[in-house]
Amino acid sequence: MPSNSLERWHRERADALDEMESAHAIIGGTQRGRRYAVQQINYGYAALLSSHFQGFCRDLHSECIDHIAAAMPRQFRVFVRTEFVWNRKLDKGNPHPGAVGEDFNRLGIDFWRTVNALDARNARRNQLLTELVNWRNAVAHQDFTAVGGSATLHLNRIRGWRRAVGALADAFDRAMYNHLTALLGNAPW
Amino acid sequence: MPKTTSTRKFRKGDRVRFQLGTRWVAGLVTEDRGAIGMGGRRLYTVEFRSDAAAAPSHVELPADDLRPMPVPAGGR
Repeated sequence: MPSNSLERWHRERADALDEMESAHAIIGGTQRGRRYAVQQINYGYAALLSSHFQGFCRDLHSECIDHIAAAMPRQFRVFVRTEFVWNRKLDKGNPHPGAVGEDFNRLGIDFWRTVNALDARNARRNQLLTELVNWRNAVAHQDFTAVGGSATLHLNRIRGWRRAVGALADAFDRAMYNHLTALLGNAPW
Repeated sequence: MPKTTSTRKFRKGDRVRFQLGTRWVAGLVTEDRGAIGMGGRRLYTVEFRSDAAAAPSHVELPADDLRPMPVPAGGR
């Protein structure tokens, strides 16, 4: 059974991202004006993918806190909850691997080492997540220096990022499931 | 497994109170996080100050831990 956060990723968030695929299909073509429109959709798609992945990570972090807090005496729960979200990177910034790791490490797990141990491909997916976030920033600031200088972004590249962060979402869910099961003594979801 | 409260009980902007240790403090719902909590219960982000002079803090709480604050005369 997946976490509520992962279910949301596979349903609501996937639906929103699929809308970008549909928009791409409607606008697609080879004429110059259309190519420009497609490029803008690709920018929007990349930004939305980054945003939804950030939302998933934040949801999963909150869901895990809820489980940890519920295992504590009632009078301590609010203190613990407040501390875990204090200065949380995922509330403010992009889902850069460093930010994701920093937030989840606070829950008592060596996050990326655990995720990478689940599947050898996750290290490469971590790099692809960095690439996605760099592109998201390049689009947001219209400065493409950090992504090699070219402003051209192809749909296949975004689809590759989507597959990568989708696999990471599954891995994050599994890593936190294992961690909370060990920590709390029973399966969280 | 606790009883789930996935239906929306509070909205952004609602004034609430909750127990912080041995006392009750007032807060403001700043976000409905959705039914992502344990057993599908709904979580809310609440901004609060532990005392009048303190900087605002945030906490995510299930609806069962929140109590609505009476609306003052003349609106919210």
